[in-house]
Amino acid sequence: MLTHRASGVINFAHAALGMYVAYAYYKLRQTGELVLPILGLPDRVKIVDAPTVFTAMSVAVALSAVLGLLVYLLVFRWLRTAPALARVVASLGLLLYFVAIVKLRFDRSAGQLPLGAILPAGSVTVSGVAVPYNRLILAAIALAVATVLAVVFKFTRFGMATRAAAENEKGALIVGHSPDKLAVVNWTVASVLAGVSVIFIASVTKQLDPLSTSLLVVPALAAVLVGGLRSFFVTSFAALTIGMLQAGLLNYSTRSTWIPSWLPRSGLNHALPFLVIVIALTVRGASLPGRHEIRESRLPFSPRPRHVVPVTVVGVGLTAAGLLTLDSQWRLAIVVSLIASLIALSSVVLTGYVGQISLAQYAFAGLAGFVTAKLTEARGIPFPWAPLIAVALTTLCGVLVGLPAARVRGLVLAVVTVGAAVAIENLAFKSEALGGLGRVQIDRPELFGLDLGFSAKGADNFRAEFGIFVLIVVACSFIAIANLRRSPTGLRWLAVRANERAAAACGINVTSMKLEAFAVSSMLAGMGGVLLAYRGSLAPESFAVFGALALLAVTYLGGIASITGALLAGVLFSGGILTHVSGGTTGGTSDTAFAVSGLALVIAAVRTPDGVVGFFRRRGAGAGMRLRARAATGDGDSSAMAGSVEAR
Amino acid sequence: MSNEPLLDVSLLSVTFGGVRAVDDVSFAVGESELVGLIGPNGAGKTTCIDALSGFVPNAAGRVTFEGRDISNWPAHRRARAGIVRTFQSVELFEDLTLNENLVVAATDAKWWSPLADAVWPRRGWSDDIEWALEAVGLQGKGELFPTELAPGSSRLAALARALVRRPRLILLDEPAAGLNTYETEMLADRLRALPPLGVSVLLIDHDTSLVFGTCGTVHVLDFGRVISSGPPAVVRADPAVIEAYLGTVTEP
Repeated sequence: MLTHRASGVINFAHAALGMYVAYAYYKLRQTGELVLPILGLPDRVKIVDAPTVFTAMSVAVALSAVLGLLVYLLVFRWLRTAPALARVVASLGLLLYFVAIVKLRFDRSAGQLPLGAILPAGSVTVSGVAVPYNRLILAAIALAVATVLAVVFKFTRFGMATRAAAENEKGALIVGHSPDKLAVVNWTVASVLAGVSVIFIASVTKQLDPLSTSLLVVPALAAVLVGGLRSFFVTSFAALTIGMLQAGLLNYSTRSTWIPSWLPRSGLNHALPFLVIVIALTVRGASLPGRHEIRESRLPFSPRPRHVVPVTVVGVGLTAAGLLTLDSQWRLAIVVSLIASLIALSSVVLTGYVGQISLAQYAFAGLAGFVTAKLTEARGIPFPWAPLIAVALTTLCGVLVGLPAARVRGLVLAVVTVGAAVAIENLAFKSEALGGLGRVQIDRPELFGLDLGFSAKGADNFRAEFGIFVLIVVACSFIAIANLRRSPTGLRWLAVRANERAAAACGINVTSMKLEAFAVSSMLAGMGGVLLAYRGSLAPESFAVFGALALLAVTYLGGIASITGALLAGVLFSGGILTHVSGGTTGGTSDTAFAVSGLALVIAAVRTPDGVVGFFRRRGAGAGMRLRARAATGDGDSSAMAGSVEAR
Repeated sequence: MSNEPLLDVSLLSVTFGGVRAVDDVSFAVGESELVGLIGPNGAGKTTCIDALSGFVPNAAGRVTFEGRDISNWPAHRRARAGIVRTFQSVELFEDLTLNENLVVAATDAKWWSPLADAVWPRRGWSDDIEWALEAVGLQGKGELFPTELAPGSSRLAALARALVRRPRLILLDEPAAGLNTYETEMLADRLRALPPLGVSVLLIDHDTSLVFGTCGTVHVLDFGRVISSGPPAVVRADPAVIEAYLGTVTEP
């Protein structure tokens, strides 16, 4: 929250930074070595032999301060006026990076790290429930910090300046405060708080894990949104309440009997933040932005698809030829890329065309996959119908998740959809009705007596028939989306993305356009999920939030606002064609790759918002520009020329 | 219905918190009429347009259009019914060409249009687009992006986008802001040509000479209230108006 005050960024990587610092702290306590988080520098440096709690803590504080500072100076400083999407993507890149680096540089499990207690043990009994001391102390610390922050921000010159800068940067500048300096201080303080609090949390709960600790950011953001990004007190109370409710639910649901058995017992507490977020936001939001709401700079340019027919014919022909002639590993890579590009296309529609940032698309894919598996397995519904029902259901879910989007936008919507993804993951994937926690095997698809199954014995494994089937589905979807983009429907979507107020003034029902996009996008994601399900077995963790982040990352790298970008994302996706060509195995993903892609994402967000596609387009347009400029000077139409020079 | 005005505003109020930005305002716009709404900065002119076009909720009062009470209609429904507006800050869709901007405004979405468009893309072209571009004098510029237009032209483009659905009433929020004298004169000519085409105009501007030169009836707002109404000659001589404007009305 402090971060947001400082620079208007909702930082998804906040808990991840804390997580890294906590790892460093415990490693330091164990071996006296400080592990450095930067690729290319030596892994670790020896600081002292047997650090005490105090020295280790001071090193950890210094480390988090430095990290916070670096993150601000290198990344978010350049994104202050960038669109919400760029900032979300940059923080996601950081999140990926921190998680990957922890996996790379520390031992695989935190079990080897001694998560020693810092706070005194023992417990006090309150109305029949034993409450450990250390939790009370933690709560007290949290409230105390909130109080201090509230007082500082309310009464000191620094606090007032920060609030002023968050509200009106230019104004603060005129009055003589440097928003830059203020942001530096705030980022540092925020990072230290994140680092220290994760250290304490880990010492109390005895849990430290790169992924789940990083996702602590979801309930935290829920609390922040209840506090309306303004009040420290409301926020910390909300956070404590959510935490207590979660723990209570966990306790209660393992004992009670009234909760229906199809709901996973451990999932409920994870779904809670989502509900809190949705309620808090729907109450606060407005269906059209106000007159004075600041307009962010433009989203990536969305090129109009050209030469659709020839490109499709050549692309489909080449891919089919590849599927029929290359070996089985190639076939697998091509199929993975095709399916990934379909799910990436769902992000292109929703985020690129309509400007709604959603991190739930991957979860929708998973949902469709599991529903298909369940329908064929338990109900005996045959191939073409089970997937169709699953896709329809996913579309409906997408519209439901899209409902809050009618009232909130930008960064806040991203938070809502992360919440939704976590909720789907915990409620649906872990639910017993959908196969519980185990892997799900799915029947072989068959159509008109034709076996479309993927796996087979021996060298014939990963059969080309399935590849062709996937190719047909993917090609049809891409053509359909290209058609939409070129027609009035696509123009209306772009109009909503560009300017909701003006769109409404043109007779566009903005809410129904957004829901339409959520429906189309979830349908695409659902189709991708079904294909993934038929590719092999399904595991819940393959659709975890982390995968969603990785997918949005490659889509952004490819170019979020164009269908070519979706195709590129498919090629880049781990396990896809690029992985195969570069000699990697198509199985697991290496953490180095995640670290690099995280960094690449941050760089892309800062440098080239249009992605790879935009990068090449700009170079091409540059050449075209010069020609046009020459022609325009010939015509003497200098105003148009000046305009177009400015436009690029 | 024959004697009823096209747009009838009675006792309209808009409040922001405790502030009454528009306070018991009543006026009417008849068929094929040019009506002006003027007032000093902060008088509530834009809020008035926001309320009439459905962008801010009205706290009290009634707005009827073609005899129907539209007070609680959302913005897009009002636009489809035939009241369109322009914005003080142009607000063209910058990612779309001028033609595409007009296509968006000219066609209404049906629930099946995504399905139809996915199978067979239409261009969404209609004669109205050509007509609207001609009405503002931008024919032949349709393939340009808004950023490629001169500032004056982009104001006209916004006007074309409002005209393209052939509305009954058009609400113009400071259409002359940023135009030079010559461009303002051209604009005045184009506005005078609208009522004969069946389009009524409510013109808001603090360039009083444009309003007095084009409108048959003028209402003056100050602190959210109508302080004077009538033909330009009468309003111009009203002492209350002169006081509100600190005498600037006497200048040409």
